[in-house]
Amino acid sequence: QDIKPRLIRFGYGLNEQSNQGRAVKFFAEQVEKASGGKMRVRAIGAAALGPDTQMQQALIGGAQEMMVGSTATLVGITKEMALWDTPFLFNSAKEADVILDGPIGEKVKARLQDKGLVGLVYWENGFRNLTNSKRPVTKLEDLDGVKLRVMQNNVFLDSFRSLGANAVPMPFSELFSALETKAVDGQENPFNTILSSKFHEVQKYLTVTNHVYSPWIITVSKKWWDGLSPAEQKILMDAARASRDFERKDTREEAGRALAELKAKGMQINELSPAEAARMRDRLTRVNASIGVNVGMDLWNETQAALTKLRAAK
Amino acid sequence: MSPTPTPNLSSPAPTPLALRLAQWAVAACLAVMSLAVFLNVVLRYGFGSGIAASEELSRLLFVWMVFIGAAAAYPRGEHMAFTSLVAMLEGRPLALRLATALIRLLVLLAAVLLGWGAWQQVAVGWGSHSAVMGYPLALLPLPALLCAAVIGACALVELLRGTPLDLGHAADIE
Amino acid sequence: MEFLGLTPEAQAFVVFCVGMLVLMGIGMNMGLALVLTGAGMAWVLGFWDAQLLAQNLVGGVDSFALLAVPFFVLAGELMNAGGISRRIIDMAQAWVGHVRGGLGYVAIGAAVLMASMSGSALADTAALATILLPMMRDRGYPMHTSGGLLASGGIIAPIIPPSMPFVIYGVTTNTSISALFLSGIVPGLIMGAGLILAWRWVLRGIDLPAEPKVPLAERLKITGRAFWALMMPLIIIGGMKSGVFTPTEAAVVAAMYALVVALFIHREMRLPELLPVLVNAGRTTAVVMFLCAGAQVASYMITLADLPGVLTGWLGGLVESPRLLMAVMMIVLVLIGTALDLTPTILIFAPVMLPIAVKAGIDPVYFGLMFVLNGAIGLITPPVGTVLNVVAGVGRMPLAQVVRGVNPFLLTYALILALFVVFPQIVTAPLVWLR
Ligand code: NA
Ligand code: NA
Repeated sequence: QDIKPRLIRFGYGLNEQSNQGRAVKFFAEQVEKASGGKMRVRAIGAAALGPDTQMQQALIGGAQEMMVGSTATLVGITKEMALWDTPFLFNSAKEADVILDGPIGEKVKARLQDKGLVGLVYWENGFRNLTNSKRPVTKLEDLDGVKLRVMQNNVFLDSFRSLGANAVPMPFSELFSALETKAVDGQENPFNTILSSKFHEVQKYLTVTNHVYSPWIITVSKKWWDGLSPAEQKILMDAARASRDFERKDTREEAGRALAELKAKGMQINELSPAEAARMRDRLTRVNASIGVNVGMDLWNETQAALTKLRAAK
Repeated sequence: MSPTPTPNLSSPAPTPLALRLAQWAVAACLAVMSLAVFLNVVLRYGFGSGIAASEELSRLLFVWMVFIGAAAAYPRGEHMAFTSLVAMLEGRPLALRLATALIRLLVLLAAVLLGWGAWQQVAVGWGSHSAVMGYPLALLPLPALLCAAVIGACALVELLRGTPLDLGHAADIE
Repeated sequence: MEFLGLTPEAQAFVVFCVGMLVLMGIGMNMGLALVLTGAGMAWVLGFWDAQLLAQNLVGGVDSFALLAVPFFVLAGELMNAGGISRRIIDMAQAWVGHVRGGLGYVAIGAAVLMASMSGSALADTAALATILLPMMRDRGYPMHTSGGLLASGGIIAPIIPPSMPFVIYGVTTNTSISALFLSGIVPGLIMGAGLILAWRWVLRGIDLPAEPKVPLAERLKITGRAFWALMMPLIIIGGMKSGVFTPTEAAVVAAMYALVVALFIHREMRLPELLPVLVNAGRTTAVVMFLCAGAQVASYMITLADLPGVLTGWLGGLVESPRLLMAVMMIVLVLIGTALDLTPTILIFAPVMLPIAVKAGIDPVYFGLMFVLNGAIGLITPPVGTVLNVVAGVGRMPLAQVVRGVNPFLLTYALILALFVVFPQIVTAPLVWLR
């Protein structure tokens, strides 16, 4: 028989009740159903198997089978992953879906293979948006002097410095108390994270900037994957695709609910006008150029061309 | 399956020179860590900015400091251990010798397992890089590998020589 | 894997208990004993891979929050080397030394003040005992009671912020370190007050010489000399509360401050003397952190085996009544504390016990305070009481003598602990206000 009994240790960072946890559970059920209960997914959330970087090393070494995590944490392994960190790359979730699931997304994923990882599908973490306690951000100049926490990642640091903010690198674990005591004025994350981390309790203004789209990616240990039969690989791949559709739908619904709830809890919300978004994008030319160099100009140009084509087709 | 006994670091009883080098390394790590973190406080409070590398660098140095320090502490018997029970065997030399040998065998086993795991992670880690500074992630398990090698070598030598157990040491700080 | 009809999780629980009792019992290096226990649990859980051991060993110390530990140790070393501790004790003596049994009150006052600057019970006890025990011996104080008092005063250090055990607890259980720090202020002061009452009671009927009364002008002068030392807690707590820095950063600021005071204000230290201080702080930290590293290997497997869940199932009805559960857990911790030091107690048992407490609706910060307080008391309970050893060592007296002398204070602390179990508000109410 082509399908052997297997235990799959599947790690993820958020808790069971999150959109990530729900989608992992969905994936696990799909795998067990399709394999007639032979392949069992042991889903372990809340970073109990360690932070993303630790799980990645465990996958590469073959000490763990699967995980889902941020593409940003894979940049140190496959530099092409930095493409997804590009500010204002996608204008809509639709664009993100087309590019990520299309040939460009495939090409970036394929680069993981040399490093001992197999990328299955991209999930959605979401568009990141800006909150702060100083003032509503309606135009580029409003960012001036805002002490903004960013991820410890050079692209984000450079981007927000270029936009005029005082970008401060800080681990997420210290963020809430830093916002509470006004050690920093603002931060940027998807709606779901803003709500689940209770940032509305310590932040007044929320600007819908959609300044960067953060994907998640399901990865498999290549050492382990190569030992699977084609039938087993197909089961995992099919389940991953199904989970992708489930996850994106679920996450988008939740983001909508989160935004409404943030409003209900008293956050003052405004949208960034397309004109201001364009001004910000212009300010980021230098940052984008360096991302292009890092991920390779061919990939960069191909992506831009695909996006132009996509936007023209509308 | 001996995991990389590195020639210069695995000498069984560190000579005063090896110990001095370890101490200097520990002091240097601590000094740089302190400066990096302090500088970030000053930059953030005073100038609304910060060095992205500060956190990553200080964590890396911390890991090195701990494992260098832990390796240096082993031959001197400075690690925490609960010796009250085994100390009761002091009147019965044979039983004490057996218990001592058993402890060393277990230490050796732990060191071999850790060294073997760390060796694989070092091999895996050269291809991955940290987010900000871009150092190879192999630099994280590397000190654990060296530490396991030193402790394992020391335990082996103690086992072969039948060095008596050091019963005097308990926790240094709480 | 089938064995005795037990599920893998139950087998892991057996491995955990046997590993702890046997490996630690025979006196193996605790960090490595935890690694082997973790390896055994991984084996029965079907998670065996040597890489996981190494990864978690490193992951256990690869944490920014834990950096507070070496920084606070460094600050403590610099306080002692730079004359800060000395000035605090001088000041306490100027103000209360002339009362009957005054040196005892000096010890309590200095212990509380030093607790607000240092996070280590051992360092504080050593500093207090080195200076005060010889004085108490000269004045004819009963040595066993004096030693017991100094040991009891020393364990206030991990309760009043800053505190290394709170840092380790916070990192181990994902609890806010700032909140834990603030939760310790009132209980720490209550401990000091309890010691004052106990000391009065112990001294009844004993005739002790009073110290000469220091004139007010002289008192103010001595207090002035301690000014820079007294600024330290203000900087640490004020800075943390106002958001200038996080607990980790507070630790490094404290160390830098102590260095500047030692080098340029007190001028009791020269720059070359910094090297041995750094070496000492680094070495002590390495030993404690190696234990943290090993504990991470075991706690990774504890999480996978869901031991807290298994135990919650067994405890059943207890989870329904938080106070009773709290009382039971406190008794268990007292028993553990007799044999195990504070850090290993936190590293091994906090990840198992906290989820049970949370399930019963107990506030995690309150639980953290109670856990650390109980573990700190374990530092002065025989047979293994590290702080008792320090006092016996510094005072060149037999351990049994200190053990005898510590009893009345131990009883006081037990009453305080029981008080906090029955009235958790004593801990939680001021916390709301302090936040
Ligand atoms: Na303290
Ligand atoms: Na004890």
